[in-house]
Amino acid sequence: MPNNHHTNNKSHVEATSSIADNLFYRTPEARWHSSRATRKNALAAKSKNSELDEALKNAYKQFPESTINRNRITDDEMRAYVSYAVHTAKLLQTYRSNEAGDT
Amino acid sequence: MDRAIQKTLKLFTGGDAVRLPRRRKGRPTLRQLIQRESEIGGKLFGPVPRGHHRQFFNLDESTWVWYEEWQDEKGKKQSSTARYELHENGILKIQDKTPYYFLDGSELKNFMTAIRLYYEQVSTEVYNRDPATGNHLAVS
Repeated sequence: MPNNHHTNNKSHVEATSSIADNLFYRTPEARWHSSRATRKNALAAKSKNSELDEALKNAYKQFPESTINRNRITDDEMRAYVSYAVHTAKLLQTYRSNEAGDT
Repeated sequence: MDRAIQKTLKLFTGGDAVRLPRRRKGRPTLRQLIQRESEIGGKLFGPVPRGHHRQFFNLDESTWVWYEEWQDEKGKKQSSTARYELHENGILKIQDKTPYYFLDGSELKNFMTAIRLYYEQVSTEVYNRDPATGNHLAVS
C-alpha cells in the first residue's frame, strides 16, 4: 500500500475539527455489553524491544487510509486498523524506553 | 543499586534478585515523558473549551486514554475518562457510566486519525525523531 499520507495531507485543523465532538462527547449507542469475553482477547504482551525493527517501520507506512472512509469495514480491514494502532503504540514505547531515565 | 538499599530490600523480601528501576541522571522519567505527550495529545483536537483541561495519550501497547476535566456552573470540578483498548477484533471504548462498545464508522476514522497525528507530532516534538523512519532528526 502506498504511503500517501503526505500527499493526502489535509490540514490538521481540517482533519481534526470535529474529532473531539465525535470521539469524546458523542453519546454512545450500546452495541456490545460483555466485557469479559473481549478482555480475554486483549493484546497483553509487553514489548521489551530496545530497537526499532523493520516491521514496525513498515507498519507506519501502511496506514489503512484507502478503506477508512467506509463505514462498513471487513474483519480484515479492522485487523489492519488494530495492527496499525498496536505498532504505533510499540514505536512510542520504544522511543520512551530509549529516552527515559527510569526504565 | 546502592548496596544498603539492596540489603534492606533483601531483608524485607527474602529474595535474592531485588531490582529497582534503573535511573539515568539528567533524563526525564517515563511519567514526565507521558505528561509531555499528553499535552500534545490534548491539542490535537482543536481548541479546548475555556476552563477545560484535556489530555490524550498512549498509555501502553494496547491502551489509549482521553482525560478531560472542567468546572461546572457551580464551580465544582468534574472529570471524565475514556479508555480505548486495542483488541484483535476491534478497538473497544470504555467510558465512565456508559456501556462499552467497539468503535466503528466516523468514530473509528477519527480515532485512527488522532493516533496518527499523535504519533507524528510526539515523535517529532518529544523524541526528535522522523516519524516515517524512526531515525533521530538532525539538530539544526
